[in-house]
Amino acid sequence: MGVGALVFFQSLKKIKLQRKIKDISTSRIASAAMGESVEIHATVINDPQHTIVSPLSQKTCIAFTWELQKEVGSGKNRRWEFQFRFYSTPFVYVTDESRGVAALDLSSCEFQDDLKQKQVAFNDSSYSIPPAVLDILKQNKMLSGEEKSFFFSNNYRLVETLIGPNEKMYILGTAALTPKIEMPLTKNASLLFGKRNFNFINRLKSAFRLRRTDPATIKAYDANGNSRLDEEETLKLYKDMEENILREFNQSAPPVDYLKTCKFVFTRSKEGNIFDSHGVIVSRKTQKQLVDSLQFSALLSFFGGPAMFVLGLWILWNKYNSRNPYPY
Amino acid sequence: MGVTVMILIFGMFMVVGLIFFIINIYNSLLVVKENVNKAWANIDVILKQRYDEIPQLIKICEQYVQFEQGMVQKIMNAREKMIQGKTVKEKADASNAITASVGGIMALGESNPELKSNTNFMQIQNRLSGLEENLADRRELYNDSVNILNTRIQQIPDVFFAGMLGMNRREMFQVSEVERALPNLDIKFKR
Repeated sequence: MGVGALVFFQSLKKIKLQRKIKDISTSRIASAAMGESVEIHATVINDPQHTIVSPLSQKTCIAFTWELQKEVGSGKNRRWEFQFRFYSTPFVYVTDESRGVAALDLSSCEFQDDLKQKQVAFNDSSYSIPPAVLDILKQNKMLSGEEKSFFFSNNYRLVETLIGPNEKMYILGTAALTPKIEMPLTKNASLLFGKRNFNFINRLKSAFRLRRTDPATIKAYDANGNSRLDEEETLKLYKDMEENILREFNQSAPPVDYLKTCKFVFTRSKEGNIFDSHGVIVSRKTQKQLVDSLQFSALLSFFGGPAMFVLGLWILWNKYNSRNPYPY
Repeated sequence: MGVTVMILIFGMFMVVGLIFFIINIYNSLLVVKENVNKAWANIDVILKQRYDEIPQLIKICEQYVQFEQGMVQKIMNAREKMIQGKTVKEKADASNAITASVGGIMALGESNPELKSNTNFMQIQNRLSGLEENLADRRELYNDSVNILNTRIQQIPDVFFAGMLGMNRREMFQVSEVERALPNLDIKFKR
């Protein structure tokens, strides 16, 4: 019964969403204005420096997100409930024919089903979870408290969403000012993947401290001759040092900073009611395909939900009657 | 539980759905209307930015070229009309006239090497061409929004609600003959 009511509610949300998608005109990134409901058709920037391999599916991508889901309920009410999501990177950058660049805040995205690719349930005995995946789950404390049940009970699964290079996407969300640093815009999105190399960070810190006070360094970088390092001079010193230290640690130069050229960032909307989708709608489909699929599934749920509700009620009623032949 | 009760409960869901559907049509029509207003306001922002750049452009150009008597006045009048214009057509016509004139002034840079080497002229030229590109994109977005509105208010069942809301067809921001034609600027280069 509960599921039926939920399905019906979802159908109303889908009706509203498909209407919204239909009613909004497509903008170009370079000339788009900030604000609610900005729609674009864009391509994910393909930069080999940003390309990674997902430890779960072993596929090459620009970014991946994992959604940890827990199985709740039993029998017909069994369903997968969202626990939390985490990301390989806070932002993905997209561009379009206007050559403008926009960032996509992954923590705000509502990925449509066409983007969700791999689903791994932990109760699948034929599948062994790659050690790298377990490492990431542990590092991000996703197993804390329930570590034992996580491994031995069969109630969890990971759903992976991959964003590949050159992927064409439909995006609808709120366009906000680009932040100065690449940080997720929502509070709950701090579970970021990435093993920190503390030796490397400590080496950087001490090197910066020493070199900034070293007279020879000051002399070498003091372009305007005022015997101290101004902001721009210090930045140049840092950049040169960073390159040298990266070389020492056998790493390549840092990837291109698209954030600097970014026109805006797509993020979660604060406006609207419970029937509105507050996240950024992201899909591989075209606008028309997306509207058609939403319309179809909304129609199914619109009639299917109440039917499930009535069926559930009927089963309950029959059970009650069989136990109490004379209820009145 | 009888079939009648089941049908009644199912019917209740359908009634809730129908009420939602009606509210959704009403609200989405308002959204469409506001989208058009927003798209127009976003064009206005660009027009205002261009409005602010024009006096500077003319000032720089006057150091190198001599404009025909009254020509500068004509551009300035169009500029004022654009800001004071109330309807889309008034604003669009004035904007188109300015686009044509500014395009002509920009072309002067090509024929006058001194003007072309002026840093301020180059900066304004870059800013104005950026604004023109943005204007073209936003005009397209506005026209698209108007198209959605004009289509929706004629469709069934939206047409009934559109009448209730007093929604009418909106004008598109069209490129006029003025903009299509190459401007004829009568100027003399200063020695």
